Amino acid sequence: MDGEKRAAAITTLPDDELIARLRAGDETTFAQLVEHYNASMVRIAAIYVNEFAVAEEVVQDTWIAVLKGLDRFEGRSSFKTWIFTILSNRAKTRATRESRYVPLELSDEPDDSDGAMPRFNPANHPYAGSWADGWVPHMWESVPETQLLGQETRSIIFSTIEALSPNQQQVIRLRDVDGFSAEEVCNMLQLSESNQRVLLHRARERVRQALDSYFAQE
Amino acid sequence: MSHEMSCKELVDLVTDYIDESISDEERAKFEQHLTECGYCNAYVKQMHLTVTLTKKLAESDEQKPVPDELLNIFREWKQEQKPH
Repeated sequence: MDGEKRAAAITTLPDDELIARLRAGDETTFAQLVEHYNASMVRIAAIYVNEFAVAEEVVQDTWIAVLKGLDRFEGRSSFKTWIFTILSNRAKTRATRESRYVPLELSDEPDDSDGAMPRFNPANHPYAGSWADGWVPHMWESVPETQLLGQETRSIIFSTIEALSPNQQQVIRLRDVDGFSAEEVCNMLQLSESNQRVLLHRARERVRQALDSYFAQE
Repeated sequence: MSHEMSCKELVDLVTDYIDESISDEERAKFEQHLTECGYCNAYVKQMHLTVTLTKKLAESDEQKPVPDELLNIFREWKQEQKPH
C-alpha cells in the first residue's frame, strides 16, 4: 500500500482504536499518524516560532508529550484536537521564551480599511451598499479545472496565507487546511466564536481576492 | 419593516452562512438576495470554491517520509512502557 493511502486510512480509525494500538506499541500506527499530521503541525508551529528548525523541534516535543500523555487522554475532544492543542500550547511557550509570542488580540488586527475587505458604494450612492466599481467578483465558471487545481493556484493560495497576520494564518490553516471545526479552533486557540469568525472571514477574503485577480487575468 | 439585505451585509455574513451558524431570518434574507444579485451569487460561489481549493491543494502537499528521530522517540517510549 502506498504511503498516502495508509496515512489516509488512519484518520478513519476511531480514536479508541488508535490509542489502543499506540499503547500496544504499534509502530506502524505511530508512523502513519506522523505521516498524516507532521507537515501540518510544523506549519502551525512555524507561525508562532518563525524558524522552521525550531518549529520542527516543537513538533518533536509535542509527539513526546502525546506519547507520554496517552494515559491522560480522556476523550473530551477528538484525539486530533488534543494533539494540536498540545502543539499550540508548546509552540506558544517556546515563542514566549524567545519573546516572540504575541497573544491573539483582535485589536492588533489590521482593520477593514487596509484593503482586506471588498468595497461597496457609500450611503449617498444610488446603489448604496452594492459592489463598488473594480470590486465586482468575476465568474469562475469558465476557469478550466486544470487551472483551478494547478500549481500556480496552489502557490497563490499558500503565498497569500503566508502573508496574513499570524492570527489569521492560524485560523485559516486550522479551519481550511487541517479541517478543524469552528468550535475546535476556538478551544485550541482560546478564541471567542466571533473573533474566530472575523479572523477566518478576513483570511478567506484575502485568498479569494488573490484568486479572483489571478483567474480574471486569463 | 425588515429591510432587504445589501451586498455589503451579505458579504459580512458569508462566513456564518458557510458555517451554517446564521439565524433562520438572516438565512432567508441572504438567500433572497442571492436570487436577485448576480454579483453576490458569484461571490458566494467564489467563497465556497476558495475553501474547497485551499483544502484540496493542501492535501496534495508534500507527504514526507517519517523522520527517524520520531521513530526513535517512539521506540524509546515503548521501551519505557515495558514493565520492569
